[in-house]
This record gives sequence, C-alpha cells and structure tokens, in this order.
Amino acid sequence: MVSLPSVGLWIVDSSAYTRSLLSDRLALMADCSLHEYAAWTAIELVTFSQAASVLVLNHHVNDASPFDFLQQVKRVAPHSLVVVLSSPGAPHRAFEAANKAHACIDMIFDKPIDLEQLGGYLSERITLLRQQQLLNQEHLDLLRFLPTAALQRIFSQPSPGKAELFDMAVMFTDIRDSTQLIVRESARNYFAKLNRVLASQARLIRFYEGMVVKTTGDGLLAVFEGAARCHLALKCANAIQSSLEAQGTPVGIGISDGLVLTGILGTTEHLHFDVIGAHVHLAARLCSLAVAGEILATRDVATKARFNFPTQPMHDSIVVRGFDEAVPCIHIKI
Amino acid sequence: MKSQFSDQQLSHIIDQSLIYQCACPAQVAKHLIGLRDLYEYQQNCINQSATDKMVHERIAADAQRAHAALEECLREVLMIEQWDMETLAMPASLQKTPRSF
Repeated sequence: MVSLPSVGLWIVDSSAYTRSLLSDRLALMADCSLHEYAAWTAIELVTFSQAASVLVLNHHVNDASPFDFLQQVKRVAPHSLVVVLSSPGAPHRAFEAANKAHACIDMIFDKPIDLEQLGGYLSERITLLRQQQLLNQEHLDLLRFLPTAALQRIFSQPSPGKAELFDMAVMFTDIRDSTQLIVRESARNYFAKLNRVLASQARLIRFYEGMVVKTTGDGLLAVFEGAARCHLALKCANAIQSSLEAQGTPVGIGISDGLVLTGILGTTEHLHFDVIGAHVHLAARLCSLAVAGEILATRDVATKARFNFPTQPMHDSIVVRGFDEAVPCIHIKI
Repeated sequence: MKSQFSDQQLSHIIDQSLIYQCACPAQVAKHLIGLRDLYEYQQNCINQSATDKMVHERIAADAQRAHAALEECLREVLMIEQWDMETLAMPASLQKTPRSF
C-alpha cells in the first residue's frame, strides 16, 4: 500500500489563546504535522517549502502587515495552500486587495469563524494536496528510471538551457470526454480517478522502457529510445488502451518518431526535463485527433515497429508545422 | 456616522473571539461592521431620480438607527461580561479551554 505523503499545517497567530483554540481543533480535523508560531518571522521558509504545506494565518488587527510574507510564501512554495482568518470590514478588504494584486492567498475566512467549515475546507484541500504529492512522487520515480545512457548523461549534469538531439518515439495520451467526467463527479473523485489513470499509464510506460516526460493535465507525454523504440511505443500504447478500457477510462493516443531536442529547462531553483520539436507537435496533434480507445501513429512508426497490429491508413494525411509535406498516418483501434 | 467604537476596536473584539461558540460580542461587532459598510455604500450610491434619493436616504437613516442600537447593545454586553472597557481585552474567565467547546 502506498503511504500518504505528509502535509504540514502551519498555524501563525500572535495570540496564545486563539492559537491554542485553532491548533487543538485543526489537529484533530486535518491529520497533519502541526507547527505553531506566534509570528511569521520565526518560520523558516526553506523548511516550509520542502513538503506540501498549508499555512493558516489568523491575522489580528494590531499585527504588522503580513502581505510581504504571504508573497514570499507563494514565491518559495507556489503549491502551498494559504488561508487567512481576518476580521470583516477594512482588514478583509485589505487582504482582498493584496490578493488581487499578488495572488498570494487561496482563501479568506471572516471571523468569527465556523471551525467545522474551516476544518472541512482544509480537509478537502489537504486530500487534494496529498494526491498531487503522490502523483509527483510517481513522476519522480519514473524520472529515476532512465532507459538509456544518453539521457542519463543529461540528468547526471543538469544544465538549464543545454540541449541535445535524439531520435525518439514520442507518445501523447489524453483522457477523452474528461469535461463530462469532471461535471459528473466531484472534484475529489475526479482527481483520485485521474491519479489512478495516470499512474497506471506511467507504470506501463516504465515497463516498456519508456520515460514519462511530464503530465499534461489529463494525459502524459512520454518518450522511447533505442532501436526498438517504435515497437515498444506501440506495444505500450496497446497495453495502455487495453488496461484503461477495462477501467472504463479510455484515452486517445498519438505517436510520432524522429529527431527531437531534449534538455533541461528552467532555473537553478526549478528544473524540468522537456522535449521539443516537430515530432512532438505531430504526436500531440495525432493525440488530439484520436477518439477514445484509438491509437494514431505516423506510418513511419508502424513500419519501424514491425508489429503485427490491425492497422488502417488514415484517409487524410496530417499537416503539421515543421513538415514540408502532409504526413501519412495509420490508426489502430483496440 | 456617529460611533462609540472605532473600526479598529470592533476588529480587536472580533480577533479575540475567533470562533462561533464563544463569540457573542464578536457577532454584534461583525454586524456593526456590516451596518457601517451598508451606510458607506448608500452614501456612495448615485441618485438618478427622486426615488433613488428617497431610497438611499431611508436606508442610510435606518442603518444609522440600527447601528446606534447595536453599538449600545455591544457596550452593555461588554460591561455585563466584564471586558476591560479601556483596552477592550476579553476577561480571562471567558476564554474557553480548547477542548471545552
């Protein structure tokens, strides 16, 4: 069983009395590691940013202005949840104005507060944070599994902006009719389902020696390398469709193959691996055209794969920027 | 609008109460802030007709009356509960132990 990532609940309140009320009640409700502070100046933001964190700031009218601090919090930990408890009237309006200017607060509760309502809100958001953390962990696990020495070279010396060209099979997947799923189910249920669907795809990609580059909302971008890359990509796509059909959440899949530019993007504070190029655009385009349960690939991928799938040529060739001519494609319906 | 308590003082009363279960003065203070917002809003409303003017004047006058009554209510409640009327500090005897509510 996968253990749930820990979430830190940081309570800042200059009054010992109200701080004790808050921490005692929220500790029972939210099931988090609790940190209490009388002043935000005592918080080490480096520690705060190291795990999924929730900040509950009970602001008193005589406290110093917390706006710089809240901006710092969102800067170092953009995915943290920031909740402010404020007096109604002028203090509330000041927080709203600051939030409009800097987007540094996720929710403002007016005092006196309903602790059940606050606890319910926090529990729901903490559940989502945990699920996001699980997804990130799965992603990081996958990044540790690198199929070839070539990509390991990039990861062993991550240098932002430095890129290399590789021959790769590029695969995009995307859940079909996700809007209807979101409307039909609660946000919490949908997120949990999305997590299951992405994790199951990621496991199969790893099994077929591919690498997840990133999640793309309702789907994934993955790459495959080596001489058998097209064969592995198609086998993987087939396995994904079979597995997700059984789960009742079919996806559309697009696959292309060719030279792509790979490298580390970002700054020293935040790095991520990415792939770019015409074949990435083409795979994304094919993915967007694929209906539920369908795999669309370039004919080149199918030829190189030497894999005996029942394929049909697409009636229309695909025109994508970066290619002088329309690209002939095939589709495979599981 | 004439007032006995400043906005800062009302916020101070609310800050000390925090939660519904021990917040009777804070509830009154919250509604006073709401009445001040309502009054302010009426003052800034544009009068495009004689009817508009009558409406805004009526609401503003009643907001003032309600505000005066509630402020008096708050003052008396604070005295009954023995708040420090200088500092507006909640008496220790009213503070609930965390698990007692």
